[in-house]
Amino acid sequence: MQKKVLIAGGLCGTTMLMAGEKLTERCRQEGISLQVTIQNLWETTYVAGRYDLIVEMFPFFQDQPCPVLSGKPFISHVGEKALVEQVVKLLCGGGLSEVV
Amino acid sequence: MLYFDYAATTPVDAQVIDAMAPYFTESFYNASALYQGGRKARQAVQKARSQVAQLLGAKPEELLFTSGGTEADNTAIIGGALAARAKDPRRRRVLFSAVEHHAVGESCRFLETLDFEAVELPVDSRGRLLPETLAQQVGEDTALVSVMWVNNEIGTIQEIPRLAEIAHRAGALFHTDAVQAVGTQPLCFQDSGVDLMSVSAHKIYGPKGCGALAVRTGIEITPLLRGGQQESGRRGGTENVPAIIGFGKAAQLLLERREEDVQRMQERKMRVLSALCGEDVLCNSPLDCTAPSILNLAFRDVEAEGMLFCLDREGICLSMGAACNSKSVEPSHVIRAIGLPPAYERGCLRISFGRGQSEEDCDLLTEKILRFCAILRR
Repeated sequence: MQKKVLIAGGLCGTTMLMAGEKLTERCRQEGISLQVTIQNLWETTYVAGRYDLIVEMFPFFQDQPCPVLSGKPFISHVGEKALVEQVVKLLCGGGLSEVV
Repeated sequence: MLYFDYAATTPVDAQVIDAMAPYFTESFYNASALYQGGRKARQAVQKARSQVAQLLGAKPEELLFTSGGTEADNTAIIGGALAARAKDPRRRRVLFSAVEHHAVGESCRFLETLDFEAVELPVDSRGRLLPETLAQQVGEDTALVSVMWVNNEIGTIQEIPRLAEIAHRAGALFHTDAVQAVGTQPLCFQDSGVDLMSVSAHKIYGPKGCGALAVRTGIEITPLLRGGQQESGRRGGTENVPAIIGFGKAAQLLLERREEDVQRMQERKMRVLSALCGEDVLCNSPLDCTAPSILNLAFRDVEAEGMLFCLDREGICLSMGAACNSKSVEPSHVIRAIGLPPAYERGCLRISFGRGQSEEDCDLLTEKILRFCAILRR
């Protein structure tokens, strides 16, 4: 199963890169092949293509066709594991409402 | 566009541009040339030197023009420490406060590659270096002490004359980075007891690429830029005549306007502070010990970068006290030095004031910040 995730935020690409690696590794364990795109919103806010999920490092996205989760835990490292699990559940087909 | 980032840089005053223009065109000459055009350019440089010296309360011959505050800091610290040690080989330590601008911190750390010891001194929760903290650390092995007059992130005003006196009792040189101070503080180089003082033109409505280092008569520094004999042999390189002229004009205008500037800034700072302070906001720039030009506020559970992003999309410019490093947006060294609770560390915004901001501008700014705070805390 292949899924596409956009991680969008600001100055620190490294924080987003590391978030992408954590999500990719965890999803691989569930048989999900993740294609992660990193986007610096300071450079462009245009979202090219469709995604199965967006992780925003600060609130920006509205009215997106896919779920949008806050990536704040990847910055503060508080609740990071729970967020990763939430992403896996979502990508495995569980809707947002099913995700506790 | 609403500009609330005067501490980053200021717009160049129209009169400054007018003063600079001829030196880009008909008076383009090299100020070291012997023919009439060159001599006129030299006279104009000397006039600008007097204007900046008058602003700083220094003698014109004590002023050394540089490419900006960073070069002035490097020259003062590296040049001052090397010269001090050449005179007295025991002097191998340089002391600096934990809230210094990177130009000072990195210059001090660079000296460690030249067999000096760089010692960072802690500050209190308001960012002040306490005189007793300096007194405990300074000694006969100290070459130089560097403490900035006004902090560029939170606006803390240091007790410079008293700190300079403590340094001098141990025979150490005292440098102050006054880049953020000169726009609001009536500082006087002669009376301050300071040996070396850095300033920059683009913080006082002058051009970028120009600053100055005031070097007290009798103090020796080892030049960093070697080449020609410009600036009395202390700084090689063809003078940036237009920028120096602009700096002189900006200095003259500031002398005329500073009192009114300060009054206006205090009013704007109070207006914004009273609109934003609340239980979820910490003020890092209390009115009694910070410059009127800077207001640093910490917002609980808010990502400052997210706030900046939202405000930028509304055409509002301000800054955050954070440095991006390779891992994530970390709180700046200044914010860490004053020690905020974790929930506030990443939510620091610097709002800085200057000419041309109306009360309506302030009200619009605070309204937007409060609105985005609610969104960012979701």
